Amino acid sequence: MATIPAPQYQPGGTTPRNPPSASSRVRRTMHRWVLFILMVVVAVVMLYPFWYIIDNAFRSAGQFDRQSGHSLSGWNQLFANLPVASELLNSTLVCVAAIAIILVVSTTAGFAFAKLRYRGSGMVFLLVVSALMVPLQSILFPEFVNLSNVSLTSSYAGAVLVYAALGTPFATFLMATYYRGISDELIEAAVMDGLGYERTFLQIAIPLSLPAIATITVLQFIQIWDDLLVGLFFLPTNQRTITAGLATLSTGRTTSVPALMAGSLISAIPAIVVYLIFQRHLIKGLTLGMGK
Amino acid sequence: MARIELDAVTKQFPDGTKAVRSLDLAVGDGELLVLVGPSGCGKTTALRMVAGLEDVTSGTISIDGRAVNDVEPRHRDIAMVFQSYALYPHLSVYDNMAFSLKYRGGVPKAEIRQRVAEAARVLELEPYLQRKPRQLSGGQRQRVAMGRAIVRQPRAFLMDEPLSNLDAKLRVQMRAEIAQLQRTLGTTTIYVTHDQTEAMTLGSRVAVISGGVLQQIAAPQELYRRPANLFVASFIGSPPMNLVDARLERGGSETDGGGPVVVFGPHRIGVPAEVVTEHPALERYLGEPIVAGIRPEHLRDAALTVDGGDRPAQPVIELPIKLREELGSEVFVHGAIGTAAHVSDDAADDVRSLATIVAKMDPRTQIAEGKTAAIAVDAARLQFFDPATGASIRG
Amino acid sequence: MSLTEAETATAVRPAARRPGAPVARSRLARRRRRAGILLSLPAVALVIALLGVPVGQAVYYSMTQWNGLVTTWIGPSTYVSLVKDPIFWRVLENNGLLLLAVPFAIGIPLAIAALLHEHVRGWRFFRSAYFLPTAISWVVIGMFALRFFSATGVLNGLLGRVGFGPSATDMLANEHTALAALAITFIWSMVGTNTIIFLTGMATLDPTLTEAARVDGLSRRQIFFRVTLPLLTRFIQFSFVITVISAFSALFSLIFVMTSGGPGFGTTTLEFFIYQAGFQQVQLGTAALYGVVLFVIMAIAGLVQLRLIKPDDGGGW
Repeated sequence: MATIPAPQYQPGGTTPRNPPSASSRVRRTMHRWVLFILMVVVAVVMLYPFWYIIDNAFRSAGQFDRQSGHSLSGWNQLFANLPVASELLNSTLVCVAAIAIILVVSTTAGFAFAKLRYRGSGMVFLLVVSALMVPLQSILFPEFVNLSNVSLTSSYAGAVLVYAALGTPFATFLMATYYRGISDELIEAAVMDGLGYERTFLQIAIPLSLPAIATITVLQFIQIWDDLLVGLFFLPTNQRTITAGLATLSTGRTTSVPALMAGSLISAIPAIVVYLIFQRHLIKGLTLGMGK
Repeated sequence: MARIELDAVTKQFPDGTKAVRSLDLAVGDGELLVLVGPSGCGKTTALRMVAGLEDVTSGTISIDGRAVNDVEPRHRDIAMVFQSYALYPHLSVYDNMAFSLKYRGGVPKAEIRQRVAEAARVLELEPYLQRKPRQLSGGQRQRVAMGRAIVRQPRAFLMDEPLSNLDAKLRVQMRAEIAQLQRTLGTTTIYVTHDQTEAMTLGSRVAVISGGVLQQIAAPQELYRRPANLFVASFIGSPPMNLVDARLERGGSETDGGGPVVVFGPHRIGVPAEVVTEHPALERYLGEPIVAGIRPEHLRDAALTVDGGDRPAQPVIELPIKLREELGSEVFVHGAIGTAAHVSDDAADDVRSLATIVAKMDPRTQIAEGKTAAIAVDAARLQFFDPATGASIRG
Repeated sequence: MSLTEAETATAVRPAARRPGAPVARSRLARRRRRAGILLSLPAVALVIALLGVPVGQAVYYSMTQWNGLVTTWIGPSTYVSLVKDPIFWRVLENNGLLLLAVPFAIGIPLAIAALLHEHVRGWRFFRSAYFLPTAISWVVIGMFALRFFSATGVLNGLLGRVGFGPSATDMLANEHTALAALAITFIWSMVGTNTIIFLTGMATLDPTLTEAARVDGLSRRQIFFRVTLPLLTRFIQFSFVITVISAFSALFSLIFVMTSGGPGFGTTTLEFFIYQAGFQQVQLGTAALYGVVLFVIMAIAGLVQLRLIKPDDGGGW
């Protein structure tokens, strides 16, 4: 350090020396209350639509207009106009099938890109992940034509494949990021112990990546369950998902609002339940993409 | 310049832990007071309360006589240097230092430039003014953190273990620079560290804290020679003071010269008359258990002649030597004393009652492992502590 | 070494180098490569087959007139006619206007995240509540929004109560207000996602940075704008990407349920027009044409984001 000639420092020179009085503590408590009220206000804004839907799902058309009274007639109308149960089933089937494919495909590829790098794998990885940007609408019609040419549009298969393809880029990215976090030495140790890379993947990588798998499952479930366009397009009418069914119901002008509200409620509940149970995973999945 | 006073300050966290218990401290104008203690002892919490970053549960903190408990940090006119330096990564060194001056208001641009330039010159940061923190070494970042505090010309500095993240050599160098800087600026400073060497070299006074309670506050020499309790005795000084559970017995006239005798295991050490005079309270412990302490540097090889040989004979104890550590300039020998060493209540679990004491020897010593050696005890430097309270037995 | 031992040695290592041959890649590396290719194949195949190929096809079809059965080649002039078509520009304009909602869809969540970050009691509950809408389908949201903005809807009811009764209108009946209604609904749905992103970002920030600013004398507002915000740059960029992608793609369901593109072309965005052209008018060539434009826009947006994220924000990571 340079030798210091005594500089002319005047400590205390710059503050306006009039600190607030001891009511600062009171001010801080008030501040907290203001924040609390703000949070409540925002909560009302965010949650009101749910209340509206629940409230009006249990009315008849007349009650809806008057905005008073409750009944189950909305539900009756809903079930009359829409094969609710079977559509719920369809949604479930499609979700399960698509998620299964996504998981298989993304865990294997994610592991390969993260740990089994080969020449050009970086580019291939980029290719897969950038497919994220392909908007469904751009490929909608060619896709449909392709799939119907191989008769995949007369059953679940077509939709399942499309959902799987749409979900794979992000899922692969997520898995690759997660696998990168596993130390290379763990893999090498397994290889030294005599496992082939494929066995290492099955017996070591997969068990270690269960949290990421859970995250992808939750994310994709919500996305697929709530999706409209694929369900509308690639599924035959009698195998529609609940979301697609609800949407077509709403564009027909003959259905009463309470029925639609009831339909909304029914289609939203599974996703909400999944959300409530697996919140943590959802949040993790969202933010994991930012980490690296 | 400012006086800072802590008056019965207590901090209790929402989960019930009491980090600071009724702390009384006064820092004089322009003084550098060091708060030292093991991790978790509450020293950083106390510092943060002075800064205003933590609420005071009870008690008063005053700056220049005015209570500041409810005053926000920004109005206290205090600058703080954080352990992690807290440099803004998106700003250059210059902007980091000028940051508060710019946004606090009240300082014209020209003066900002001048103050930053001056601080940069003093801290040898001039070549780095346009760099970002991540392009700097640890030592340089530390100096930027100091620079940021200096340019504010505050009433007081608060430093939270500013050297902990530096390597040993750099730490020693920066220690000296900080001491010099503080002396030149004359700004009141509270400095927190867990390193007792740092505390001893920096502070005009040092406050030893453990478990949120102030153990002793005094000048470094005082802490060394007259520790107020077992904690201070074992915390200050490296290697730590040897502490043994012993009994104080009445001496017979034959070997011990009539005065009280410290007895532990097979060993007897007579307490010299001047010590008895200085510690009249020892009377009360005759026939009772006590904890006796002697620093390694006050034990020597009885076989080596002392220069200027006319020294009164010192008591000698015979110890089997378990270990000899060569440090070049000195030698440490560990000798078994054949009884339990004093193990404090909050000692780590892996402290075994292996019952050895450490002695610091002249490197010429011939003491070897596996042999028994005669160790002379400078009994005038004996310390005594009450086994129940841990307090030093004074007059 | 005796001769016999040397011979044995060679026998045991049959793959030893012969002079002039290239260095044999280790067997381990080869197995690794094989496993890598094998394991990544399904994903690549799926993506290429179902995402890549159709893109190429879309490009082909974009230069044709196609009604699903008969394909008539026209050539690149379709793009020229496109640029001259006022409907195209109208559609793009709608997308552009809706993009104006993006700053709000980012700014409002920033404020809410700052609010939650204070950790006032119960904040976790509120965080869950704000994030809940992300679990809901856009269809359902649209259902509610339709009723909310309609002539007899909730919004007008509220306005009436406050005294704006006479100005009650069906927001969805007018082109401009319909776009506004869509934008508001869009912002509402993005709040949850972006709030979580920013909240997470704030949680990862070093708290001593804001503490240092507090001790240094900055006011709360100054700290937020001068310290917190600059440090959140990466998160803001990430959220920007997500929001823009959503603005282009997810709005389809909202429009489908709320306005069907109307009134007129008032709320017909690019992605909705594709659906209309293909599904309702069965002009698949046109649909493909617009589809390619959409794809190009997304690709450009994606590349731009990538370049924005690369250059440093001062580091600190």
